[in-house]
Amino acid sequence: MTNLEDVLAGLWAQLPGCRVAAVVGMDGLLVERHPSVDVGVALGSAPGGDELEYLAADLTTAFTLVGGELSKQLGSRIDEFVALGESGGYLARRVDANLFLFVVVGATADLGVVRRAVAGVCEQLAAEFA
Amino acid sequence: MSGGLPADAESVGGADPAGQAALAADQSGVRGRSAVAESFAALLEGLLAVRGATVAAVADGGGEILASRAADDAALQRTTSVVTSALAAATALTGLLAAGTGGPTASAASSLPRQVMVNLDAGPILLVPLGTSEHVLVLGLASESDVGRARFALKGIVAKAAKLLSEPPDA
Repeated sequence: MTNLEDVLAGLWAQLPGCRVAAVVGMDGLLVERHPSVDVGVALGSAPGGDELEYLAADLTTAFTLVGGELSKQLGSRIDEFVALGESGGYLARRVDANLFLFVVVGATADLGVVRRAVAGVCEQLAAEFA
Repeated sequence: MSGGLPADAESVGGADPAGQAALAADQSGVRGRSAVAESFAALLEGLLAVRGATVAAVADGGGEILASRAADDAALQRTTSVVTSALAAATALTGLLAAGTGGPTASAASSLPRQVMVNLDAGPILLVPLGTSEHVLVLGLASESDVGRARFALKGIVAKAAKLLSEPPDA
């Protein structure tokens, strides 16, 4: 069985400026994250346990929203969305019908690199879960 | 979490040989306690290896634990003591939901719960019916933040567990 923690650790390690990488179920429940709560808090960069769970629930809502009229008008399902601010941003991408992956990155992250890396991991996970 | 389980924290069937024999010889074809325990040993170990899992068990429809693995005796005791009540409550709730959503015209399959979670102070317990059998997979968790991970792990395991129950013991 796929070790999600290892996969997320690999993604986190290859993305400079990545604060946290996580997989979430479309029910809004956090499935796995890297770094773990303890390590993330020690590093001082990753969101804590509760914060990430709220974030996961909000992103699930966002995915549900963009999966409605926005997808319909676009003519295809929206599988990825990016939210950016001055201090960094979020990138969330659908793995399959039941899961999505998201990363929180700092302002120094290269969005192109982040998109490619996340897309690669999502494809890998989708193939393994199929 | 994985490995290092205390030997005395696992329960693979009762100590009553006569009871085991009677169960194994059940004329209805329902698999006996020892056979279930043997078949499920590896699967329950795998389930307990999920981070956050404290108890993994298989219970019959009446809530009797047929096989289990636990991180410690106290967790197993806690879970065992509530499984019967939780299953009874889930059954009653299912009946109410069926009556409310479709009543007598609703199909039996549409009213079957796929998963029931009982949220206790000591951590949530997930109850998952195994296919069409009367057996239920029981997974005790340390905290609510483990629910997503556990549910994800269960997706792959439930089908295997249902298959184990449908196979003859020597298959």
